[in-house]
Amino acid sequence: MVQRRPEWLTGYSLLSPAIIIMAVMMVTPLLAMVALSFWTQQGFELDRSFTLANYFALVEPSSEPTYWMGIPFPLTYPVPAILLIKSLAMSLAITLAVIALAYPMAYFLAFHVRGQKALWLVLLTIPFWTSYLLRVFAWKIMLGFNGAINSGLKSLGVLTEPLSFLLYNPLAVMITLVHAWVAFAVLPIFVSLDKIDRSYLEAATDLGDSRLRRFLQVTLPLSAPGTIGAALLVFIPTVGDYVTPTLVGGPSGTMIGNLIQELFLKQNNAPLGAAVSITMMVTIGVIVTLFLWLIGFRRLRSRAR
Amino acid sequence: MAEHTDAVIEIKDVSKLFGPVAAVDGVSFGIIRGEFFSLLGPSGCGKTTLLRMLAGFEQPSRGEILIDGQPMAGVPANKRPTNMVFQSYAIFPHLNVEENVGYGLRNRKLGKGETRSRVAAALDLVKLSGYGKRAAHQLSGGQRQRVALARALVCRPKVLLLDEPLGALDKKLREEMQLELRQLQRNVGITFVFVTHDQEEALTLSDRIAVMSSGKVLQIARSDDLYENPNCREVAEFIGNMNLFEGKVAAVGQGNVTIATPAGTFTVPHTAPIGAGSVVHLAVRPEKLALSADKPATGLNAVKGRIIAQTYLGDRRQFLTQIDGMAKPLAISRQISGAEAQISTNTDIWVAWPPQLGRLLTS
Repeated sequence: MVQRRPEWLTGYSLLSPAIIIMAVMMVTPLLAMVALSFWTQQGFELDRSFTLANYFALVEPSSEPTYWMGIPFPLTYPVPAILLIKSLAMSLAITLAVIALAYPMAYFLAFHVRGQKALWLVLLTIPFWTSYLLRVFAWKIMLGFNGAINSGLKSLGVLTEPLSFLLYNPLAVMITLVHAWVAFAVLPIFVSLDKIDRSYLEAATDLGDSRLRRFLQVTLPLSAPGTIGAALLVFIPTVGDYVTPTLVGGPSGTMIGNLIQELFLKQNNAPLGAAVSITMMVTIGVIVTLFLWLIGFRRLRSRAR
Repeated sequence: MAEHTDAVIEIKDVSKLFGPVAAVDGVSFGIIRGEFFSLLGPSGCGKTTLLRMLAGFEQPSRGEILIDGQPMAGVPANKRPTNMVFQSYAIFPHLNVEENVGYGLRNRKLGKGETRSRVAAALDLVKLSGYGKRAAHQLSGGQRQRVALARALVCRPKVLLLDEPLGALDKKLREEMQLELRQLQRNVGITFVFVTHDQEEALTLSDRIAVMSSGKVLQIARSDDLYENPNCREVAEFIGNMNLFEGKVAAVGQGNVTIATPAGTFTVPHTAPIGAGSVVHLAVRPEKLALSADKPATGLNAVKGRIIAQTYLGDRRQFLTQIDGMAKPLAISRQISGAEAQISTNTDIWVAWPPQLGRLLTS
């Protein structure tokens, strides 16, 4: 009899290219980052003795709280904490806006497009045929002081003075990021809507559901895995985004990514930057885990089968 | 028509066009309150489209459907007094058995206790008590089928529509479910409209059967009537096995006609007026034919042939007999009792049947 390789070995050997890439490209830099966060910058040199000072700096209490949006931050160095909370809030708003925009698009694609779905999916990717930077710049042109919106409204006689609140603020960052991410969210939602057996919808109608009730009771829960996936896909990377806030955010639109960049490149304090990065990562991890636990992801996953 | 006096469903000249194609083509009939009614036909004959029009998922292009005397035009599926058991069962995967069965009741203003007791009663009815907390994906095919039944019946519809509900089950389970379904229908007294392409299933279950083909209803009759007295070739060939002799009417007698076929001249009962020389078919079931080595007595229709094949089917044996002048061999089915003489293949044999067991088909 032919000796067969154990199944787990076959599985791992199939996964091995991915595992090697993950190990080399992700786990190693991540471990380096963790190590870095326990070191100290001494001028141009790194002091490699273990210290928790970087983390302590992030939470060191102060008797005179700094206020942001009316919230007191009783910290000596409150910038990272404020920016982290601000970034999380902005990303949450971005995620909600993206889902609100992407869900109807995906719904339309899944239920109202017949035969041309592939074409529509290609059309959705057209914005991605140009670089991300170009798209951010396009928004700068749209929202700028002498940009498309202001000059358009002025030439129509709606405005005499250009609106100054369009660019260089958190709203501009959020508009740009929503636009950048919405197409990524359409795909997973589309997939989960498209694979809903149409007989479920007919059964719900047959059992007396109105269209709205059917959507809330059947379509929405059955598309939840894809929608949650899309939300995570948008939420996690936007928290740490720094390109968009740099270009369209102005001073008030700064996010945590900008601080990390600043610490690494301008303030020459890589260990503190690493500590902020790790803190951000852990915070996002905790939030996502809590979120999935709250909505009962385990149960959802078993239902999707 | 007398049968329409207590019709729960009246279908009046209903057609459904998909583009230029008529899926259902000018169909009219009534379904009697409390009966088990089957729509039988090959796939693509329009039976499912007709069922979906009853449910409200499709609108007739022409004609009218009345349920319980009410015209259904403009009444959406969620407002109709019908419930459906889907071919795929459509058990909601995100709800457990209890929640699935109670789904339709949530749309009614029933108390919690009332809902719970009705769900429990429905689960009891389909022999699934104790399965209430099971998740949808933990159910077998037969259990899903029962959940789908309970979910529809708990709404107490005037008419239960079933779209090939047994198609996905294996043979043994299907036969079990057929019996249960029939029993269930008698117990609840709800009108069942059952779509199937399986003629055996339709014969087993139904009070009456409508045989459909190419969007039209060919014949509506009781099971035994349909089997014994098909009204056209298509029904005769679709229901069970049938031997057909094509021929011309040679002589019209008192309550019977004599027809001349390439295989010989046979007598067959017929009372309606018919012209000599019309092209007709004589139909006779395999089990009505008898085999004998010697020429049978006069008074019987008889034809000589040669056995070319025989198949053992457990309870009976099927012989294929080649007859001179006929393209298709005759099928003869004989019960196996153990006492009959063996007949070997490639022997010449007489096939005979009493004239009254044949049927004349004019279309």
